[in-house]
Amino acid sequence: MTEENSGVSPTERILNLAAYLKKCKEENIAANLDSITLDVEGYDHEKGRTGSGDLASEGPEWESLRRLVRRDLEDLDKGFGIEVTFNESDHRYRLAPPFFNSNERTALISAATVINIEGIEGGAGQIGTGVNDAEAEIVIQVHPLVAILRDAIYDGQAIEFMFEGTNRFIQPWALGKWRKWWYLAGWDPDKEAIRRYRLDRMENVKGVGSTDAFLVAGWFDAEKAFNLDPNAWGRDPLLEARVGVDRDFVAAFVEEFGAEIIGDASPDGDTIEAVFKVRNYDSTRVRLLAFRGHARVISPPQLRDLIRDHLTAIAGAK
Amino acid sequence: MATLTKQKQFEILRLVLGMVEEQKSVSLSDCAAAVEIDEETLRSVLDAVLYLNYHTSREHLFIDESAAFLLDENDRISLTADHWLRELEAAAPDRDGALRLLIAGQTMQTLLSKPDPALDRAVAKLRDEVAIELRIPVDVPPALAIVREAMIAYRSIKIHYRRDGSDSTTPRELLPFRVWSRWGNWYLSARDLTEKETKTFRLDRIIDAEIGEQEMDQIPWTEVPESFVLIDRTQIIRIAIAADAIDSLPSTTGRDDQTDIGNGQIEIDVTVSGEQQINHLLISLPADAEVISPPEFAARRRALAVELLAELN
Repeated sequence: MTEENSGVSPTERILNLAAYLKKCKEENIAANLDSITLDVEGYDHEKGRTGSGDLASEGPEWESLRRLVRRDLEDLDKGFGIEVTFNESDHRYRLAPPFFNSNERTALISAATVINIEGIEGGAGQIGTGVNDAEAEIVIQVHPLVAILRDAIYDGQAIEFMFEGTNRFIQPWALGKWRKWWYLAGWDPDKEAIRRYRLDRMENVKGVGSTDAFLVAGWFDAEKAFNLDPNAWGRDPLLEARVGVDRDFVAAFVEEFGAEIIGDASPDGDTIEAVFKVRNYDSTRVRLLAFRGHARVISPPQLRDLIRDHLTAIAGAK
Repeated sequence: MATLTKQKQFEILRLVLGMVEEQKSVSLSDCAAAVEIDEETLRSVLDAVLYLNYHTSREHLFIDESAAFLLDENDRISLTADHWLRELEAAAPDRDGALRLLIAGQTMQTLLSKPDPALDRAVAKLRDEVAIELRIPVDVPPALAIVREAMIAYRSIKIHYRRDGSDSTTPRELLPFRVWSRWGNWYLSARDLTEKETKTFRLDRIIDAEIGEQEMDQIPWTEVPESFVLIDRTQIIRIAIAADAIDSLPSTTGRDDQTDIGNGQIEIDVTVSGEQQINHLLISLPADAEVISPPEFAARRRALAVELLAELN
């Protein structure tokens, strides 16, 4: 029987080989060139063998079989991500361990079934790409620049883009989300400083120069880089703000300021007292005003006056 | 029947068997459509997996993986055991695949009421695989848990809802159909029991949600909108402002057409959407900033300040 006349297609032979290697692993059977070419359906079981059935250890037929098995193993790797290692000392072929075990894969498929990620395409046939997106309970949109910038970071390639009317050149170091928005943190070689940019305000992003052009500095702290709350990095003298917030706005207020609820601010319980630290007065004023009259500064007077003076100035403006 | 290369057959098998594992059961016609070949060709490609069994030269060694996938008389392919080919997969997902799974996995972690060790391990592996600094805090609104619970139980939810720009909440009972997150916000497609059409609600504006009494036979399929028609709510406001004060604008604003007018001042078009955002921008602009157009907004800004001062006093 030869490869050509066995009636087994190359695809079938390669899948037969995968199933055989699985069985060998399960039953702790040695898989080598001899056993593979003898046991797996689709290989010529007589080729390269002596009259007693032993596989020759060299010669053109042996070499042809060896190459065929090697090509099949490469196909298993490319086609199905199944990796097989060859041990030179015992001449055995062994399956590499799976990247995800069965439970991990199941958990990820469950996640992909519930949550459809828009904006990043996974390769066909990869875990999570076979679910029915139309039935996903939750759809999450990822900014289209995320995948592009991820590649630039991974490849160590600098980028150029327009941001608020100015051309920027940056070594991209990290991607992150803060609140609703995606940001890029990167090193500006001209300014010799870390810069952060909101992705939805970046335009005409393109890679510049070679890959592996930079390394992310060891001192870079991504967690800190993406804590964009002005009250985390502001330099105004620290204040502790106590604010009375109407009950219906409490959840939004807590989310906005990371405030802590400390109790009722009114006898009827309609207003809740929240407390948070202030290190950036201007941004705090802007953010408090988003709540209009539903968030009123109780203390300190300095913060209360800041709001009042601002409104008075606007009210009196021409 | 088309003749396919070995590589093409692998691609088809990987995709179709992946669909079968992830959807449990798929029709042959849907699979054929997904891989863009005719059903007969697909059937012949699948034969290599569906009937994979053979005797080896050793009597006791019988290789049989034919029980994993089943093509039934209704031409549906089902998974009846483990997807054995994926069980052997040692390669990590590609870059995009890993990133997709990482975001889905992390989001799922925040939705689960108790930790799933398998998911945690998988997410940790993906984080290593993505191999860049990627901070993805998944913020989910408090109402999401109740909404999901109601959807799983096919029940309504009773909520208080605060509309955009409104100062008060309205009680509603909704049949929840679909939750989705776009443009940085979480939304719920749902129908109010007193109304006929499906509407979209922002989850962060849902106050005091609880499971309702009304049952649903099924959850109708609801399309996630690609965009909202906001043209009638979008407003471009041109302002003059100190260049170094630009970052103090509310983060919800869009910015365009910036012109340097000297003395550290710029003119810029700021785009806002809806009355609440317009008012917030006007009232929070630095006092020395100027509203250039629409001209009536300068007076509106003063009136808002007067009104708010009165409220605070």
